[in-house]
Amino acid sequence: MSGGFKDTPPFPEAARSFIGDSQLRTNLRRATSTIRSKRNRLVDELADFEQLREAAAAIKDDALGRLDELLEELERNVTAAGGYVHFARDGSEANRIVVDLIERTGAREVVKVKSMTTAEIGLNEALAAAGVDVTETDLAELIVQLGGDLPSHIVVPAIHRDRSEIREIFLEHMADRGLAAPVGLTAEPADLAAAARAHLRERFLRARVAISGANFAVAGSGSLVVVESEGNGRMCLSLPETLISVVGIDKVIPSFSDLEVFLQLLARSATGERMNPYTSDWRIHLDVAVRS
Amino acid sequence: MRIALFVTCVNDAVYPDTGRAVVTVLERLGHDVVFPEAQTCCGQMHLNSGYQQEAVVLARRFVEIFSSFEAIVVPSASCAGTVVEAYAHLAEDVGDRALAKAARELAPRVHELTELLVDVLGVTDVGAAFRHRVTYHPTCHSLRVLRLGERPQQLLRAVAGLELVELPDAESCCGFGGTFAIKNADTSIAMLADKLAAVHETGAEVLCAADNSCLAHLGGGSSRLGSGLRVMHLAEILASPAAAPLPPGAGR
Repeated sequence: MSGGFKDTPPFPEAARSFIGDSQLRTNLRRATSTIRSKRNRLVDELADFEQLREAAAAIKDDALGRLDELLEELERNVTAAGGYVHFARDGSEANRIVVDLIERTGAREVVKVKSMTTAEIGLNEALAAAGVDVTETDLAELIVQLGGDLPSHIVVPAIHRDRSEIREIFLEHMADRGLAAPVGLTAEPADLAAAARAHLRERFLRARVAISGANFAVAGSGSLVVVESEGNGRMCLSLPETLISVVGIDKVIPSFSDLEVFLQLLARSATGERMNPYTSDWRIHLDVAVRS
Repeated sequence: MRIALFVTCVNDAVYPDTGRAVVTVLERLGHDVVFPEAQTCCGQMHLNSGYQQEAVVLARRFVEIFSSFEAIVVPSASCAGTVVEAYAHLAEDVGDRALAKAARELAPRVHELTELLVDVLGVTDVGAAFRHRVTYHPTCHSLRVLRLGERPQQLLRAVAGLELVELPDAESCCGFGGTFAIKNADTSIAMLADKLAAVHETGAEVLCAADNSCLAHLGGGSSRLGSGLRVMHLAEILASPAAAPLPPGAGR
């Protein structure tokens, strides 16, 4: 298990050792140029893409300008829907709140939806210190976790790995954490996905607590929204009894109709897809620790 | 048209040929170019490094010196972007509303060279000849701040004898990034290596761009490889009058 982002050296120093890694540079070059050309192609399909971007920026600017008001509205609406809201002053307070909530359930393991906020605040490290076993369920995050690594990109966390490396990580480390990778695992994407699916399935069925982030927190409706590709996020959001969502205060948007703008932009711009496969929103049974 | 040249400090100190080339091109097209001698730096370096107070002094100076002109030409997307995009925000950040207003009024008259030629003067054929295989690197500020789009390529395609070849992965940064190259030298050089590999893939003899700062970085890397690639500002290609081959040692 890595020590998280907090223990990484400054960028110029950290970069130095990786610059000499020709495999990593090839992986990154290939992946970023593929994603970028897909993105450019799909952005060109929308005549109003620039206006959508401007509208999104205006909605965000407006929300950031009246955070006090919107956060209170969010809290009121989440509470009215049966959820609980906790405000955290900083990352370590958010981590303490999450650890405490898990301890109150008596659970010793959790499943997680991909969340950059929790990576930044070192939640996994805090959970490990409290003896809680964490399983990252986003495929890329699982690769990162099994490899004792850190996410290298906010959208594609395992962008630095190619499929033969992923095969090796699965063969070597899956067994330490549950169902082992099948003998004879190939580096074919479908094969790798099937191994991850089987490995994660037993975790989904067993877990009583899930932790998520949120792409959006809608003040007007008191709902949180997670945008994802695999459906593993939705497993976490729907199967366990307790859901804890760690959300930065900057994720708040005023109303549900504002989502229309962001959902047209997000997948197209981030991953070069017209629409992401799974968009989940929910209004009940949630805890929110805010302010990263 | 009477056009004021803001040559930029990098060009003034290191690449005066670029400034001369701008004058050549514009005069050939029948325009008057004036050079206000009081001009200094636009303040981008200060601003990007967090020195707002130092930058705002230079922004004020720029606005004072250039406000009276109908058109201002800048042979750098990076410096033009600072004036057009950053000045008003900077002025607001330091609470100088008068400067913010003046900067907003001035911004539509400040043009990077290819914008001036294509949008304001309505020219794509500037009467140049340049018999070489050329590739164009869109610098970050050309692409992402000013969004120059196809303007540079339109101008280059109209140059007699010039063969324009497309640069693969053109949108990638060359790794210069101002002080980034100093603070993150290793990463900067790795990015430079990738960019030069893409340039060499094109088989171009000449690499051009709208920013000499990026070209200094690219030219430095290229000369150490001994590849024979010439690195030139776009203005210098547009200024080439005849079919004469490049003299040895021309370019960065």
